[in-house]
Amino acid sequence: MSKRNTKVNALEINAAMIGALFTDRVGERLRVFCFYVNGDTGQFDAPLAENCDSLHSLFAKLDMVGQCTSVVLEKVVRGRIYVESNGALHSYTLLATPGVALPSLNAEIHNLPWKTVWASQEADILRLNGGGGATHCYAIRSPVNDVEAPALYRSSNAFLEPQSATERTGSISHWARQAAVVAMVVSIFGMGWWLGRSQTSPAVQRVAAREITKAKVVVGVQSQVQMLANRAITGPFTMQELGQMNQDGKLPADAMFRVVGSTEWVPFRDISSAALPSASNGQK
Amino acid sequence: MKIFASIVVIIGLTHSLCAADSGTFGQAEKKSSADQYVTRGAELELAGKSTAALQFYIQAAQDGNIEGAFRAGKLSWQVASAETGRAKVLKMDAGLRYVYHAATNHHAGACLSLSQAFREGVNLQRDLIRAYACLIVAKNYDPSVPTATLDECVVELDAGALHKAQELARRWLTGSWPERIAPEILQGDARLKIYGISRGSNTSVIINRKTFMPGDSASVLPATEGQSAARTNAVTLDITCAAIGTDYVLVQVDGEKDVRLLQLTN
Repeated sequence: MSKRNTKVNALEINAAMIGALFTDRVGERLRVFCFYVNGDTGQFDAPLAENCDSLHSLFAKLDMVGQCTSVVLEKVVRGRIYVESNGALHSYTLLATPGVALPSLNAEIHNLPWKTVWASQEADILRLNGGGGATHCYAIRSPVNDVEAPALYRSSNAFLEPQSATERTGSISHWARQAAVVAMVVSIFGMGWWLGRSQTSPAVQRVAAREITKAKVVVGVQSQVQMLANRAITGPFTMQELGQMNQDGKLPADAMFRVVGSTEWVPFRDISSAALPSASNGQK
Repeated sequence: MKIFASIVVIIGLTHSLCAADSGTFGQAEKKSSADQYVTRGAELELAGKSTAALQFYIQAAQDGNIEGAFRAGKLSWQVASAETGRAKVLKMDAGLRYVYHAATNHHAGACLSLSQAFREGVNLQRDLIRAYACLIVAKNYDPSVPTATLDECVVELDAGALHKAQELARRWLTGSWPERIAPEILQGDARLKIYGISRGSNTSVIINRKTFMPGDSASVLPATEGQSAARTNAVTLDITCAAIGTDYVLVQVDGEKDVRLLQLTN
């Protein structure tokens, strides 16, 4: 019997198919976990030194260069719940999997028979086997610093202390008693940045596995938007006006924009993609 | 007058500490006492007794009172502004530690003060990115902070700097503050000795027999007691002269994260 000698020399990932990407560094090895938009997953590890450029390229495609080392795109996030159990606070971010019914966002999520499929210092990726064994759903579990939790809830516009109907009926469940703080994020657009648990020491050089749900600007066609360019804030403009200015080439290349009432400045491409999906000319 | 104020403080603190020793000083009472320190400090500050007020604020801060820490920092800065030389540097640095402590504990006012320090380059290296990041954090901690305050700063940033500031603020809002907002100032260094400071149009200092102007970097042999440094086989130190004051020099030793405050002695 001949011995097989097959190995993978290289691997390409289509960034457009990525719903969540986690990277971690262990010594000189790079660990990568991909959650694809269709619910598939893949993970591998590789020598860090030889793959820095490829990693950087992937980060660039996902617009995460210099911002984070892991990302969860909003399109695959169903919601996030914060569960306190035995004094420890964790967040569960449920990842949407096509064709798979996800568990309810309540305190019982902490007690489900999750299997850890990828672990890093700051987050675990959990898999819950489906009934038939063929389909799974995934969640990201991360510890949350209880001191920072209130600010986290506020910044992510989470609903505080929700009581699900199942928890109110009958006797108060064990989990409901334990869940002193349970919050649920139900609006995808309301999700803010989330950078994981406290990491106060800058000495930690490790590539942190932090999930970041990128902030999206809530903007409609009728929204009033201000522009920051050439050391001046102008406007407000409607999105139609900005779209027209963009088409006429009147938007400064490095202009930033914010919806009136917000303090978050974003480039035109971010604000236009939310309000004017077809806007593709001019400033990008 | 200052002596009287100090006595008042000492009496006040001693009374509280005696209560602490009685065994009935629980956590809630400690918080209450810390609040009282802040209140008393505010009264003294209002009466113009800054030194006494500062001691109450510091005591409150040491008991974990964030408002006390903020006030201790602000008042330290205020007191330091009336000082000169080395004493001023040390008090400004102490003030920064208190303000930073309060800022990292969700105190919007402290974030605003920190922002101002970064923006004006007072006691901190001027850094508009950090200045604006502080303002974002302050606005998050206290939505009543006027947007106009942020706008005054944001117009000074280009798109790249603004992006960095917003990213920095996001990190800080999750608690990922740097361990130190500025290098710690350590007093003295046996390896370094000031031989003289010359003032005039070109202020310079002689450290270990080499002349430095602010911003200069060079290698020097460590100073040693009782023998000429030149005769020793000690490894040279790469140092940068960060600032020269009337009676002090701030030196950064290459490879060290702290800054050395060297004193000119006669």
